[in-house]
Amino acid sequence: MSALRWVTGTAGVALLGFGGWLLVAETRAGTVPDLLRWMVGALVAHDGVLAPLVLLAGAVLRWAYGRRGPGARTGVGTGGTAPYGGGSYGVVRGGLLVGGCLTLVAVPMMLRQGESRNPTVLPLDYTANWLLLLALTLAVTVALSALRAPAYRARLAALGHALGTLPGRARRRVRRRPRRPRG
Amino acid sequence: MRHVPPSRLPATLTRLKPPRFRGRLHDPRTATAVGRWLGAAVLVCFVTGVLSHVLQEPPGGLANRLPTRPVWGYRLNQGLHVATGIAAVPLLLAKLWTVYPRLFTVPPVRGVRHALERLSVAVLVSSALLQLFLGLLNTVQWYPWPFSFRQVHWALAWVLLGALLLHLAVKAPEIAAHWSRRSPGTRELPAEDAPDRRSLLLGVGAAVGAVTAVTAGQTFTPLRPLDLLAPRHPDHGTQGLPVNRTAAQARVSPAAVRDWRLRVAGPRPYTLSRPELARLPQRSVRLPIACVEGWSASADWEGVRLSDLLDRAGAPHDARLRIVSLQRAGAYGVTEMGASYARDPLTLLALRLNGRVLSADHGYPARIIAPNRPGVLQTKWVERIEVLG
Repeated sequence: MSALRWVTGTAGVALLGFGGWLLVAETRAGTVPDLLRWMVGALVAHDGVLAPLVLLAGAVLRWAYGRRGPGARTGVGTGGTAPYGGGSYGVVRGGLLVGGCLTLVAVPMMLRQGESRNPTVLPLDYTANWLLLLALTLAVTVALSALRAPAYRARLAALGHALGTLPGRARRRVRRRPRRPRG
Repeated sequence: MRHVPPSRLPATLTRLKPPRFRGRLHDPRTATAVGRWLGAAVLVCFVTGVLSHVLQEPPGGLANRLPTRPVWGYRLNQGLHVATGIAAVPLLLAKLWTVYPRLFTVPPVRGVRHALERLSVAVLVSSALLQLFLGLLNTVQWYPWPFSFRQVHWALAWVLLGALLLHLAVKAPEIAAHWSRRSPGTRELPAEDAPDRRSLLLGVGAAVGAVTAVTAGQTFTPLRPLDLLAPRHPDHGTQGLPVNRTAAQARVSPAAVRDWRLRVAGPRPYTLSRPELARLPQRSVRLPIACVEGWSASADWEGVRLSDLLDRAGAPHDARLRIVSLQRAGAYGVTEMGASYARDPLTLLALRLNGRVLSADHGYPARIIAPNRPGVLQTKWVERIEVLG
């Protein structure tokens, strides 16, 4: 074990101790048991509710893309292509991530809308804005998926081919474009 | 589903297997790639949080020497603190998703060392989740918990950083083995996962960008048109400025305002009515008001230089001040101000805001505005200024 590793670990324990001391000595009475309940609650809410929901959504997405072949079960690839990749799988997953995170941030705003006696706290229409952002996320996801669809790709390839057959400079320029091998 | 004969049921229960995770990318390379960004976010939140804490509650020796420049220092600090916290939401969830299968490690505990490690991870995860949750709810002024937000957010910050450093020390070999795409550990992972991993990281990055873009406008002016989900909008407020606590919330009584006179207690104490204050030399400054909750906006302030009022009272140049407000509800009714702020030429006892007399919610009859200072210390409804030894 390197010295840096020991120093980092020791510093971590020291800061943990300092934080613990702050909690015990520098908070009002009853804070520690209340906080412990909330910390356990945070673990239960995430590990018991939020994470299973996200995993379920992931399983549904994989099922919808029909990538439940032997590769997915055994961890052995299906020969060069991404296990669930290709096509719009990644785009749709990204769209769900964006929409889900926007929703998480929007929930406290929507729940507290109109609760404050101070009109400059939460002054916007958060439900409308949230729906607008979800619609925008959906639109971008659909657009990016369409760009990755095989039909569109085929047309793009056809266009590229057509350009390649043009005589003269255009043809040379296309040919001269350097092609670096990947991987 | 196969039918289980009743006689075999107990045996089946004892052989209860942990869940299987067929999805990909629950691997150390993904955890390292997301964890690096999350670690950076935690560090930014910690450093800006400590700076904010020092500005609010300076340790004895620092109280008179806090920097008043740059004037936008606190605005940047607190804007970064809250924006980074919000950006950390997708990062933390992605990180926890990646390592979630480890929750079901078999056997659950392999000895004292393993138990301690798992306990430290539990502390790390729960303090990270709670810090983001408490912080986000604080920005909407929602306090459904039984403890003090300030005390707990401050103490948990040290717990979180400590648990994080310990985690980094424990995982150092694994992190090093998966640091880059060409690291030895990464090469042992299935190569066909690489495009899928890049795509997942892009998705997480898009989520970080999205939540940042629609909230950072509450402090970062160029993003103001996109401010759709932030708890504050700099354009929503009386006199073109949001309010942290209204006069009604602070229980500032109309009678106290009607009979108001400013009292300055020093070697040569005096009192001034508002018309008398308005006849003193007036200064105009453009200063941001930056709230600890992460919103900020610049405004034009007009009033009397605090330093002029202190000279009139015969206050020494290195004197600290106690500023007492008419406010009867909430913390910050009485605040202290170090000499560096008190004597800064930009620090005003402001009477006007954006060309008009201060509204009740912005602190009429008079309020403090100082450069590079947390908004909660820009005391409103100032009643008395006391020169401390």
